[in-house]
Amino acid sequence: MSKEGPVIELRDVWKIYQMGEVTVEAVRGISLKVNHGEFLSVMGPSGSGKSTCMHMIGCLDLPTRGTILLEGKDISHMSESELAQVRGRTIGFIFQQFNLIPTLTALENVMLPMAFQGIPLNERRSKAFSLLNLVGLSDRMYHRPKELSGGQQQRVAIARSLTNDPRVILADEPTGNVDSTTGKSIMDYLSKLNKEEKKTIVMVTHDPELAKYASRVVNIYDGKIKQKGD
Amino acid sequence: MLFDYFLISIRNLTSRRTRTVLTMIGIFIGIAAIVSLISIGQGMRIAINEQFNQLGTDKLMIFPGGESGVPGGTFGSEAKKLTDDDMNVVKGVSGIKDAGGMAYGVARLKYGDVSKYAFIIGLPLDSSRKVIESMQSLKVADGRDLQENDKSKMTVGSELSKGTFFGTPVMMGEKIMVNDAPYRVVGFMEPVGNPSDDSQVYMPLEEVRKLLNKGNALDYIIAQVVQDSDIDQVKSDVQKALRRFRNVKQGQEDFSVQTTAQLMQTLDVVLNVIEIVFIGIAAISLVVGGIGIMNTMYTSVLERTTEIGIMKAIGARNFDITAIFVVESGLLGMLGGGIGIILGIALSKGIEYITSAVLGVTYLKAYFPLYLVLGALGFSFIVGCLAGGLPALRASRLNPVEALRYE
Ligand SMILES: Nc1ncnc2c1ncn2[C@@H]1O[C@H](COP(=O)(O)OP(=O)(O)O)[C@@H](O)[C@H]1O
Ligand SMILES: [Mg+2]
Repeated sequence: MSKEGPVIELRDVWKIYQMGEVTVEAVRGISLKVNHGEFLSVMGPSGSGKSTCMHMIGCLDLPTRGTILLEGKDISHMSESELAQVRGRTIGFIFQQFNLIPTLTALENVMLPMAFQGIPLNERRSKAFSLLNLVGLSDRMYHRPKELSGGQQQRVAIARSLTNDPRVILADEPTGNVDSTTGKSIMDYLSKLNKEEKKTIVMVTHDPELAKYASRVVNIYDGKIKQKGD
Repeated sequence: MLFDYFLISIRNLTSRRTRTVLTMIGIFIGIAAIVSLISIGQGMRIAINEQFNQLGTDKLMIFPGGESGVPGGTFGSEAKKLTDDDMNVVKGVSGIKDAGGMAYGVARLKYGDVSKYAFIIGLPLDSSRKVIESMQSLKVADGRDLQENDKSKMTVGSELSKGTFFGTPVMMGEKIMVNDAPYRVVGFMEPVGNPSDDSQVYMPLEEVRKLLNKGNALDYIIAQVVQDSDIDQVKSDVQKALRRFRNVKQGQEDFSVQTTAQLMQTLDVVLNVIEIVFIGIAAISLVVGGIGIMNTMYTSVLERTTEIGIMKAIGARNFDITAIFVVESGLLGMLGGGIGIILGIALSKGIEYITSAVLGVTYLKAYFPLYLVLGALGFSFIVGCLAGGLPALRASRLNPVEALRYE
């Protein structure tokens, strides 16, 4: 695990969706480096390709063209199960819609990513306990997502994203579905993770207020990075 | 990991209870049918085996009528009947230890004011009686057995002594009129287990022949072979001797000789055919149940598309997703199977109860070996897994991004 060089590198990445007759160029030649410990905020209007970028960085999707390197490794040559490994170990996802499993309790949701890594049950439990403690939800462990507020659900999701000690946290509009006070507390958590745990964070937002938490801001417009002065 | 597959499945099944129960119905009907049919079938086999064990494998049964005819029930002319002479021929064959014959028929019994028809069985009272008695479990419950030199004496089946036959119990030492001739009751027999056999009365062979005008005819002969002899060889020797004595050619016999093994095989074949037909029907209902599970699982995959996307995003491999859905449908099958087993046991116990309480047949006992219960559970789990296979594969192949975008 070299701490030299970028953790994430995109080289002229394209994503083109073919929907019948229509071709959608969601990402059109993005090149980007994110260094270890950075807190990068990606901004841009809706439909500009931010989520598509996040999905490719997070190994959920492969680029149509171009190269993505995660810790120096080209993900486009990885098999399906290798991609799953990377997603499980290197990346922690936080979504706008929280995306918890509705039938599982908060505790079980936090334990689940560790299950996919084959971590023993008792280890998983104690880790999940301490993570839920960290996000201030020790009294909500056995609640189902629908019994939790939006902010609480997102905190569960943050705890879940941390379970396998990922180097990178990808947050796609993490405060998009919560009120501004809750949003602020979520941002405080992310900021703390970046500063204290040295997690590399890439966060999508279109709120300039939130972008202030980041150490660097990248603007995307129409599938391309908008350079300063463009 | 397996624990988590189960946890996710159970959480999911319990959060959609109505659908879970409805889906299971398809499986448990099939499993209930299979369990009850097999347990009753096995019970029947055991009862028959017991019967044959009692009979022993060293017996030959000789009936009037050819191989194709119904044993003992032919419309044979006088010439075709078996007689004491035939029995003596059989006794003369080397390899035969002893032989006995019996005669039976329907006669009118009168006890007090009540007249009814019943089977009267004529038993030999000499040494050959032992051979005959192996055919039926004739044990005296009360009083005494028929003895040599008994005249106008009888023993009666349990239906008569219980009182169900005449309406009033027959008393020891009282007389029953058989076709107007008086017979004194000297013994009560133990119940055999079915009402028609237990309504018979037993009398000396010669007196039955006289009452029914049978002359020296016998309705069947049982022969016991010498210990350790080759029963099939003895059987063909008996056939040869009887052909010569009765002056018939091979292939045109007006009698048939069977070993117990043969009889058992015939019954076994019949039981097998019945079982296969019924299990086939039950299997069809299981297939239908399996399709029900498949349908439920396809619906579930569709509904949980986002969930599948989430699990992939947090590190689930395609294999994990497949396993989660296969385990879930397997559980669905196994839960259905479990209920089916309980239902099946109840059903066959019910059949057992009805046959004994209503029909009076007490030797039919439903039989539940462990392999049947475990096998049915395993089988329903497998049906569930198979039914869930295709939906699970579809789930695992979902593109994670599209799954997450799915509304
Ligand atoms: N799976 C897909 N199929 C077709 N078009 C897609 C797909 N995913 C995204 N798009 C399109 O790509 C563009 C960028 O989408 P997205 O990355 O979600 O934007 P953002 O997150 O910046 O709002 C949009 O026009 C969107 O409709
Ligand atoms: Mg988006």
